[in-house]
Amino acid sequence: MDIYETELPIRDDLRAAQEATVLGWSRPGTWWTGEQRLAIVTEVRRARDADEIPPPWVRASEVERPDLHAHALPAAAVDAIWRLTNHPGTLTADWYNKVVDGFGDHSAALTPLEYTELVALVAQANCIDRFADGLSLDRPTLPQPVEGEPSRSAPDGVASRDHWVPTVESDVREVVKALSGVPAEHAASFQLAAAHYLPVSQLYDLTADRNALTRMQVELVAARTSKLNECFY
Amino acid sequence: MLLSLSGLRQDAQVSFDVVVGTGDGDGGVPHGQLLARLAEAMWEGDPSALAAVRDEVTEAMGGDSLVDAVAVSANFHMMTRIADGTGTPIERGGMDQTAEVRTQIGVDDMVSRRQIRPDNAVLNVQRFGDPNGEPIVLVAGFADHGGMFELLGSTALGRRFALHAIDLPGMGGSTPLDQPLTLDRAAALVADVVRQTSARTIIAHSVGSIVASLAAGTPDSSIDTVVSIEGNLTPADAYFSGSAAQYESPDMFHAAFLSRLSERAVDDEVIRRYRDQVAIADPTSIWEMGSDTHHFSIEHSPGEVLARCAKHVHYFYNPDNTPEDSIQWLREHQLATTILDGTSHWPTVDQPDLIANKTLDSLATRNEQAGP
Repeated sequence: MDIYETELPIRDDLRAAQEATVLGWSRPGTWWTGEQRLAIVTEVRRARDADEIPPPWVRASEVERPDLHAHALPAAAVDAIWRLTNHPGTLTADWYNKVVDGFGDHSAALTPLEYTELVALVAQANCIDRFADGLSLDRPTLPQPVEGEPSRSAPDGVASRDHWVPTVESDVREVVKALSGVPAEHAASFQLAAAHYLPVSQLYDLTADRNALTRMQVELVAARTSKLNECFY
Repeated sequence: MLLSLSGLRQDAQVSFDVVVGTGDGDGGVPHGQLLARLAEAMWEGDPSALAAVRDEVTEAMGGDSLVDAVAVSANFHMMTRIADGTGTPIERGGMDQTAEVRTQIGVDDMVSRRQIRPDNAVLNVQRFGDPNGEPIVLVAGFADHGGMFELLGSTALGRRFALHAIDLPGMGGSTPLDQPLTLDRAAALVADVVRQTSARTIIAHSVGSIVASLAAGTPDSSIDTVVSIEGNLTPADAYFSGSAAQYESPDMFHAAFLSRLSERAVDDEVIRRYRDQVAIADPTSIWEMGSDTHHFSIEHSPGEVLARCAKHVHYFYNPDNTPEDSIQWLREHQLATTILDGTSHWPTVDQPDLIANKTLDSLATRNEQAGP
């Protein structure tokens, strides 16, 4: 798989990390099938590319997905994908509670760990697609789904603590802990982050330059992007 | 956060203006402004703007740097969604350690900030200007948000005062109330912010001027000065908001209002900004507030409520934007006025320095009248 055909000097480790992530989307996950995981990524692309993006208080499933009856995802998942993609700075605990409640439709409710896996996939897709868009490259082609059932395996000790979502207690920064309730997506996301930004182990080596950029330049881009997204953390 | 720490470790003087987007310099980081513009272009997604910035980065820093900068920015589109999507809290003890940096980059003003405040507040208050300066409370107009005052933060006014700009319920980053939004309820919330800040001055725009008048008139209010920017004086001023009363439902009003604004926004950047705020406002909140403004304006005289709400009241207006009824009202009443030449109805957006200087003049006059 050659993820990009370009003469731009994209590092090999960056290509490899993105290729592994894209392939991972097509395989059965912890709580979603391969088909559903690819549907999540496809819905991220729909949400980003929509001509008219609904404001945060409008559920996308009600205005953007009249074909939901044929969709691989429940309506609440579609709503969450659009909101996470287009309005990340407006998320609230109240909204999260509504998502896992299916917005009152219990047949469409997500479990907290299904939601956690969905957040990870939406975040990864936003990362890879925005990288491609940022360099005017074609977004990676999605593979065919791999058949099989999700593992449906929760790690020992996972419980609701200080995050909205259930996590596993550990002595790491809160953002590193955020996806710990779904270890496979935690690993995938932070492998991607290690290639794009830094491995977690180097986070506090503040004098280390990172590839072609100085550490201050890296942190400036990180801070400006986070500010634009109104990231509280 | 790590930007400041990495700067300290490398003996560099890092400024957060470039992170906030208010400075023209590099913030102490080589090519800082250029890199910030690349991140902005990626966020905005305008292909032509992005292509132009990419060319600049490649020429100034090389293709490797371009790819790495795009990769880093893309990564933080991921991390933002992981952190905000999972309700990730700040590290215990981290709030105190990072308070100064958080203030500098405005983190505490972000919408998501509301959700972890101990009181779980629903009112979003954006802060601009000198955080250590004397407080001024700012009240935006109908369906608008406190961001309409943001440019005042980098004016002479912002260099001296701490500006607390309120998003009324259902507008900007504030959540709707669970009961109808009336002018009185909005005023009660503004009065709470006045109490928290001990402000003596309110600057209010348009319909926000009625809200400010009611807030300033509450018993024991610390407000002694109200600067009204094209605030409502007569029913004729409710030409935008008051039309809500003509519609049977919030959605019908919202759609009609947006349509009306969209026509005017085609060639007008100032209207376009306002239209974008109206688009994300909660239809029910603005319909309720607009309807109440209509009824209030008929049953009371907004101008008289303004004139008697505080010891010092100053009215800024451009006659070109003001209905004849209100100009007549001003002729017939003793109210300190300042005429604004060539400004839009949103002069804090298109002429912030003018508004800042006129406000400072007004406050200086107030202080002279008070004596030594």
